[in-house]
Amino acid sequence: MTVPTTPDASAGLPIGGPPAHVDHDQPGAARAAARGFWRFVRSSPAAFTGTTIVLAFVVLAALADVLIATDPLQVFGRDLLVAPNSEHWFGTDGNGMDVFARTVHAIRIDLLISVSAVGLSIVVGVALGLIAGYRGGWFEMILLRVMDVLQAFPALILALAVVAAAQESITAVIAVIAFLDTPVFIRMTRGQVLSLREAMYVEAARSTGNKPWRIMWRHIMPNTLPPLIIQTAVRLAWSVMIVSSLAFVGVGIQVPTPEWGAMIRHGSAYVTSGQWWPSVFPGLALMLLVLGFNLLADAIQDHLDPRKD
Amino acid sequence: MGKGLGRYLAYRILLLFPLLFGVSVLTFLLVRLGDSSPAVMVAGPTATEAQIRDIEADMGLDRSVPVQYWTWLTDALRGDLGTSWMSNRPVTEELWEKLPITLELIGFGILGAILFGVLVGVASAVRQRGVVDQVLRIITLAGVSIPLFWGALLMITLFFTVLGWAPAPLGRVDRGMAMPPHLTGMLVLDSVLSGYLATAVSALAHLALPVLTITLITGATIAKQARAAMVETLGSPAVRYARACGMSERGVVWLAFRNAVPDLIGYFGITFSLALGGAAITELIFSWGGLGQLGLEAITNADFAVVQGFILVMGVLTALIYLVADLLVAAIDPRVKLQ
Repeated sequence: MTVPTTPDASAGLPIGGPPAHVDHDQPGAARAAARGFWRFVRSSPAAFTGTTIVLAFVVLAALADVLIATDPLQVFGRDLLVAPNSEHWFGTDGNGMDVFARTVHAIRIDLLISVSAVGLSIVVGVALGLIAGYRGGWFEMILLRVMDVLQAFPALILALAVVAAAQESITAVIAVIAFLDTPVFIRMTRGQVLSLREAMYVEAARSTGNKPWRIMWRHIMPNTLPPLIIQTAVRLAWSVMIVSSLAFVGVGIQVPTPEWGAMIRHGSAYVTSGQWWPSVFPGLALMLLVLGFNLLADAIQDHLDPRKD
Repeated sequence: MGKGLGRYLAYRILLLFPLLFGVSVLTFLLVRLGDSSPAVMVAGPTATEAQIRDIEADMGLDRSVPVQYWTWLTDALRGDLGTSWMSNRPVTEELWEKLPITLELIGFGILGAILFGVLVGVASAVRQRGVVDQVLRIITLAGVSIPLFWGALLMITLFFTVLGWAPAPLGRVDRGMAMPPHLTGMLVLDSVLSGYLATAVSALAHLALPVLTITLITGATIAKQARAAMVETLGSPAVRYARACGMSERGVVWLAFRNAVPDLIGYFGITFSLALGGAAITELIFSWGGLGQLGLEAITNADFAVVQGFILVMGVLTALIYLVADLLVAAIDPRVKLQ
């Protein structure tokens, strides 16, 4: 069956639009993907900065044990709340733990939770959005009503109530954030499908006898990817914020686990007495990572938008 | 619009009931999903298994969840949202008392965020690609990336700990201030109305930091949206036509701004409903003693009745924000008809 489909290369391409020519061999597709990525990184200062920040955080998270000799849970007995110095770069916190080691190690848990949550919500959200958009009917109606209810109250407060009930559990935090992220992907995918469903090339695919699931997966889904990639970066930024907000209020992840929100909560007790470092440094790291994702989202949008100013 | 408006309002208020029903069912289930129980908290750490079971029976927690929900719902329809085990007071009374305290904070915060966000966004869009735009965009991006709670801590560090300009982040007014009689529950308003000027000044000083935090951080999101909306309208055919006819630059910006306003108000609704959660955490940091602090403390202490009532009030507030936004758009934009 030879129907004009989107080339495989673009489905596996992370960022940067379709390749200049169609590569059917795997190494060629990988080369095209790498070229597209490189073109994106050089497209704007925002793209370069965002990519650098996110990559730096990923590398730091992966190599935290190798790069930093200090154990994030080690207690330096008498050195409580020591100001930043050559031994403790970011000082020590109220438990006498090294703030630098903890700030870097915290990248792992924050990235782990947000990436798994967003990943989960993409899988569920895109699947439900495809079905709702392509099939419509009662399924679509119920789905839309449920999402209306979800939209009716502040996500953060719902997340707090649920995670508090589940007590200290990373799984619960991931599940709640995925649950809150999913409607975004459902709405977006459904909207895309509604406009693509009547497209000429989909009509052609249908008339040559393709099964509905094949049309959804091979013909429609690849064309919903660009907005999906932008939304992924936006939701990653949002999820990192929610993870730490939960921990800051005191539900979900707790001290001594190195996590930014929990560290800021613990450090906030010393802010009014002048010991700013236990709360400022983890917050700075949190802000940088969120900034990185936000920059990426903006840059990808500019890069993919043909009408860019 | 007179008669149509009345019918539209009735429709929107009717729509609120199934929505709140859904929200209450969801909250009820999710809160009871976990294994934290208020009975354990009430009984204390030394309680025996039997004592905990007695308290659970007392609170009605030993019955099945649908039965519990039915009891709650029938009581709620009569205006009784249960009793808080933390304060031993009726939930409705507590919510009613704390609501104006929070509304005062959020009101000033929303006002500040809109002013700041729209000014920055419009200035940025008018000088598109220029130095002013680049600087404002960097500031905006930083603001969007800072979580509200950390922003609040930074504010306290800078303005209280280092500079000593702001009062201590402990409540709404200096200790020992004469309190005005209770009129609206909003401290600044009550103080001014009853002539307690010193109290009003102190209350305003205490409002400054939390309001500034909400203004800058929520305002950054609005600035980003305002810039995008203005860039769009500044490039629209209508504006190009006005330019071609020789309209002054000031007139052109005003025209573009007026065309961007309906979109902007739509964004305000989304932004402020999202900011309610952040505002609750801000209350916690400044020991504000409003609805947000009450709700968050109830959440961490498994005070189910208060959590349920708190989320219900938040649902109503969110719906109201969306309703006001929709009404404003309909009033301003002749292309939009209420239905």
